[in-house]
Amino acid sequence: MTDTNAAPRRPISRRPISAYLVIVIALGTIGFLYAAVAPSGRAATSSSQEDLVVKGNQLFLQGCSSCHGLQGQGSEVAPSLIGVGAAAVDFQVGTGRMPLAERGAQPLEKTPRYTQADIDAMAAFVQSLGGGPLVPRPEEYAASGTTPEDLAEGGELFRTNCASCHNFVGKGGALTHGKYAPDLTDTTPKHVYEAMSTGPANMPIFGERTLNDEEKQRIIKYLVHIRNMPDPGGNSLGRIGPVSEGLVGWLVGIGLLVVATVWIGARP
Amino acid sequence: MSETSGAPRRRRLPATIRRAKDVDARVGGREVAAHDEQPPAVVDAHAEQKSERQVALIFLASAACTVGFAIGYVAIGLKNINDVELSNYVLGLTLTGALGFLGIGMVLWTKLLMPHYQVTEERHPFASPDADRQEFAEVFNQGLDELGLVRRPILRRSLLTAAGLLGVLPIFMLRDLGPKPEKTLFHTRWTKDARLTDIVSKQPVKVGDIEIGGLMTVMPEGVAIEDKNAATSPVILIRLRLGENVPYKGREDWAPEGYVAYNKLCTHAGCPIGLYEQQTHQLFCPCHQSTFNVLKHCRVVFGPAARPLPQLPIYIDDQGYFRARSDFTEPVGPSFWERG
Repeated sequence: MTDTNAAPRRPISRRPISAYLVIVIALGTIGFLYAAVAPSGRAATSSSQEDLVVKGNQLFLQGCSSCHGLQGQGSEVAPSLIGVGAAAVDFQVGTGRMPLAERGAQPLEKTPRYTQADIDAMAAFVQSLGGGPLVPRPEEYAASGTTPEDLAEGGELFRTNCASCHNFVGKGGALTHGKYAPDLTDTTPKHVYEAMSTGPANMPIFGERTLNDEEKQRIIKYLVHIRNMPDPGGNSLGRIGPVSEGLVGWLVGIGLLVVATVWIGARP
Repeated sequence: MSETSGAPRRRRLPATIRRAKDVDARVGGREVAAHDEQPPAVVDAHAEQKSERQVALIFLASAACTVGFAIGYVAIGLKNINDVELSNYVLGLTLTGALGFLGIGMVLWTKLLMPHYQVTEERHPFASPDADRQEFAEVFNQGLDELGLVRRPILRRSLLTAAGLLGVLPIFMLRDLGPKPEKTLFHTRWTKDARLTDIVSKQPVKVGDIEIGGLMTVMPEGVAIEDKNAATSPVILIRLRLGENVPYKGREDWAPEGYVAYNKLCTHAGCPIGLYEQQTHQLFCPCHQSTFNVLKHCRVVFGPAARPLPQLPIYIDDQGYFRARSDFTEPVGPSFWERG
């Protein structure tokens, strides 16, 4: 920099060897510095990461490519997987939604068909196709050390962003044309995080800048908290409020009253 | 009624008499149906004793439940929330038993141990006797004459005025239904160049803060949802793919870089519209299932809503923040009388 500033219009051939030497030395220094500073774990696992991608590619070709295409480019019946990220694979395959058992309004949750190791491999392969959200590390989604502030903020975020579809206590709800927002009672914190960051099916995507890690964690803490809350009022009737309670009241309660009335008035 | 008043009708129904021998008489002023068509049932002392024991046992069960309620009430201390659940179950079930067994016992008593026969009760005529009616008319007319309502017009008119005014008075109280909303229904808290801020974190929203297929609920900067006249201001900011948006005529520059902003109040009944299906690009109202197509300026594709969701004109400033070009160009929320 200083060289060129001092002599702006001089031809570069004036001191060719020393200029090249400076560049070589500078690049070499940067390279060494990078090697020293860069996380050693990632460097050490780079070859195993490659193996993982190769294994994931094989699994992908066997189990996914008939719909999603040989390069994950998608087809008429399945979306492209380029850029959806490892988190989407971990969510879709980890919750059993993929591979699809039958075509319907939306993929149904079921027992996963792959082991977590296989899922990790496929996730690594899809990640290699075009980036996207990574599978979160435990410290990114783990709900530890819940404070009242976390719950208050998490509850407000949940009611603002999630409750319109998933119900205010995460019991899920109906969408259009047979689609639905699933019940979140048994969803693991990791899958909740992944769903937020990847937006499976019709769910909007809540990326890092829409809801940052801390906000996502607070939402998860709120969810975990309310699902563990004691419910001493007897049968909760789905906890979806007056609809189910009214239905039971009308059918069971009034039905019993009618039966009792008929019995009292019956002739012996 | 009146044509049969001379000779009261008497319906004779087949009687079912189990044990009483001399019930063909007046029981408590009621006409008891004849029983001679059917002989009284043979009284089985053994069966009667058995029924008695049965009913007594049920009453005792009720008593046991009452005692159980008392014990449960005292014994279950409400130290933690799980005790509350146990307490609710114990108290509920014992009280149900106490009342239920009592009722069942009573019904069984009448069914098993009381004689069964039918009685007929005649209705008495509704009209008063002629003499009473005539006397009332005389007294009424005499009172009217003594009052002089016809002879004293000044009193009559002043009384009618006073009573009439009192009747009109409630109309004035309709004023308490107000005050009228005046212009607030036509405006929201959005102003020209107001920045779009996250409704929870209050942070201004920048380009790129939302992924494609994501959304955010935003408010004008410095306005909280709890503020005066701010309830109609929430806006849903959605990022579409570039080129997906089909703008309404004259709104071509309202959706910079695929970001569209629509009012969050359903145009049907004002519910907050929060259900966004990112694959079908539909906004869905949870109250009455009005569905809006976000790609086509939120026009109604299903449901009772009559108008598209009002769109907020937005632009991106030099620093990349979203700002409103102006307030909504039409009233938001459900229809109202003066909307026109």
